[in-house]
This record gives sequence, C-alpha cells and structure tokens, in this order.
Amino acid sequence: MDGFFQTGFGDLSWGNIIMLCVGLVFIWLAITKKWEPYELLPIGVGIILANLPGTGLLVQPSEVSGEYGSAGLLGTFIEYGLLRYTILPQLIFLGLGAMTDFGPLLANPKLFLLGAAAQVGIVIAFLGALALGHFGIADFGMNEAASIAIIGGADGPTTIYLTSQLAPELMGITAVAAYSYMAMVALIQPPIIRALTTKKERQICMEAQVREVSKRAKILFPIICTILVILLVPRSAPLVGMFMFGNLLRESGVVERLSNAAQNALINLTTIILMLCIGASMPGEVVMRTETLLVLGLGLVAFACGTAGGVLLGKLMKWISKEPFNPIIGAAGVSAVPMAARVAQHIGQKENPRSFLLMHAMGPNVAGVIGSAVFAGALLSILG
Amino acid sequence: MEIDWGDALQYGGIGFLLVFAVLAILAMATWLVNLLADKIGGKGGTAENGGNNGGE
Repeated sequence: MDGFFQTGFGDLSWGNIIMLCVGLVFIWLAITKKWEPYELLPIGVGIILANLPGTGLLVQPSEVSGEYGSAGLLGTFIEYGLLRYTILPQLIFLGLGAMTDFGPLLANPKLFLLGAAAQVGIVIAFLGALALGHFGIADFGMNEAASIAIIGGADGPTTIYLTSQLAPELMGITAVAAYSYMAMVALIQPPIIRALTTKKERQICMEAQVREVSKRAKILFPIICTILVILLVPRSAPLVGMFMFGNLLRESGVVERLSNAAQNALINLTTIILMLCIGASMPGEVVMRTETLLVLGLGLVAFACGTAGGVLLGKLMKWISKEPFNPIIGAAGVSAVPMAARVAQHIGQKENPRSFLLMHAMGPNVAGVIGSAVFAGALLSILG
Repeated sequence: MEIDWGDALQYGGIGFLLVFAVLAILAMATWLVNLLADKIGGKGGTAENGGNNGGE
C-alpha cells in the first residue's frame, strides 16, 4: 500500500495520542461544563487536527525559489495571523473595545490604579520564571519569562500577542493557561480575597449607584487614551489602538452597523480562527515537556499575586477614601472581564446581601485590560 | 542559564512602574475630561450604568 495509500496510524506518537485526549477533554469541558466554550471548543478541535499525522494542515507557507509553495489552512493562519503579523489578537481587541463600557471606570477614575496594582503578578511570575532558568530547572530566558508572566494579566489576546513575538514555541500553552485561569477565576480568587480581607471589610457597602458619565466624556476617553498611551508606550499601539478604536465605534453612536459588526461578526470570526490556531500550535512534541507544567504553575502564581496586589491596594484606598470603599473590588483589576468583577460581586453579596459591587468592580476590571496591554507593550519595547 | 538579575529587576520594575504611571495619567486625564465635559454644555446625554462588557 506504501506510495499508493497511507493511513496515519503508523505516524502516531504517544505525545500525539495524549494530546488527542487533551483535545477531547477540552471539547467535553466546553460542551458539558460550558467552561469557556467559545475558546475551549475551537482550541480542542485545533489540538486534535494538529495531532493527527500527515494532514498537511500545519504546513506553513515558505518561499521556494522566490515563489510561495503550498501551505495548509492552519499553517497559513498561524504564519500570517500570529507569527509574522500578529493580526488576530489585534482584531479581537477591536471587538472587545466595541463590547466594553468604560462608564464605571470614568465615573471613578481612581479605580485605574487598581488595574495597575493587579499587574504585580506579572512581575513576580517574570522573576519566578527567571529563577527557574537560573537554577537550571527550566530553559527560560528573558523572552520566555515575559511570555509566561503575561498570563498574570488574565487577558487571552494580550498573552497571545506577546508570546507570539517573544517566544512562539510557548504560545499554545500560555494561551491555554490564560484562558483556563480566566475560567477558573471563581475558584482561584475567593480564597485569596478572604485571606487578605476581614469580614468587616468584605461587608462594606459602596454607593448604590455609579455616578453618571456624560456621553461627551465617553467619546473623548478612547481618543485621549489612544493618543496618551501610545505616545507613552508606542509598542502597545496594536492592542490599545484597536481596543480604543472599537470603543469609539460603540460610543460615537453614529456607526451602529460598524459597532455591531465589531461586537458580533468580527470578533466571532476572529475567535474561531484564533482559537483554532492556538489549538493547532500544540502538537504533542511541543507540549509534552516538563516546561509545560512549570508554565501552568507560574501562570497560576502570576494570577494569584495579581489578585493579591489588587486587593492590597484596595485596602489602602479604603483607608484613604472618604466614602465607603470595599477592597475586594481590587481583585477585579486582573482583568478577566467580566468574570473577576462577578466574583467580587458574589463575595460582597454573600457577606452582605445589601451590597452591590458589580458596577464598582467593572472599573478596575476594564482598567486591568488597559494595564496588561501597556505592560505587554513595555515588555516588547525592552525585549522585542 | 545565566541570568543578569540586575537587568531582570530593572525590566520588571520599569514595566510595572510604567503601567502605574500610564494608568495614573489616564486617571487624571479622565478626571479632567469629566470636568470639562460637564462644564461645556452639561451632560450631553447620560450613559447607562449597566455594562455590556463581554468576555475576552
């Protein structure tokens, strides 16, 4: 049969078989547990496609004698959408911008600082990854450490964007770690919040209503943010620029069709392609290494430390603030929109049924998205 | 692997301080924008407090 018809069984490695099982588990989690289904379902399919041998789907375009040879669909998406031009995470940011309401943040600008404090997890994981490299436990240099640390930003597209440029071989696993921890935010954050706050603090009721913000301010914010942030950190432009453009589409009120397209068709289409690529960047031989477990562990440390950083600054703000201030909203600064804000709301209401923290927590939550994009831009400026 | 810890601390520290500085500047800019927007012709339409923030 050789040379005429060949099955893939002979080329299946144990790594492939294990990854096929992982892909099936992801699909099962997405369908039966509804665990980040928009991400895990296409990632699961991507993993399966990447680990079936002899498909040619992952063949990346390469110049042969000045002309482009044949390439697989997934290989083409990975090459042009992620590795070479990193288009896909930027388009996701455009859609996210169109879906984001900055109202709660604009109503209380000091909440920006909570979004910054929660990025401390990135620094700690960065140093932790370097320490593992230093002691010979893993082969992590500066670029790998930065790519792992950005998981602490709890922002999938930012993680993918940075990793695809600094350490592409880690892209699949860092992206899965980021999305998995975002899905597990309700399990990871509550013990940390409870450990760092007293019952009395968690019971604090903040103002029932978030101050109203004028439409003019909502329109001006994305324009000013784009100019200021990109002037300060130019390498954050691909993420921040797209995020704010998407938000301007939403807030301007004059391009409803474009805003709807960004919020629905664009982000849905891009999510399908991006998540397939993430799954496809996890063939068995890349994932079946000790480093994978270390990346997952460090990502968890980054996430936990980010939560702690936000809560601790929240405590400081509670002492300074003249109005009642519940420090647990600081935990939402890790981004993971809107799950982290819901966790703050859930804990607050459990401790005090009259407490309604969701809109207050949305402030640091969206500030965290800007914070992690700025951090990614800063790391790219230094290391890229 | 040989790590230059001086550089590492500098990179992490600069990144974090930069994020803090940028978001603090944005907070001040937002406060100013709110102030100006309220002064120029009052509230040009009010925004809902409810968010439509989608997942990432």
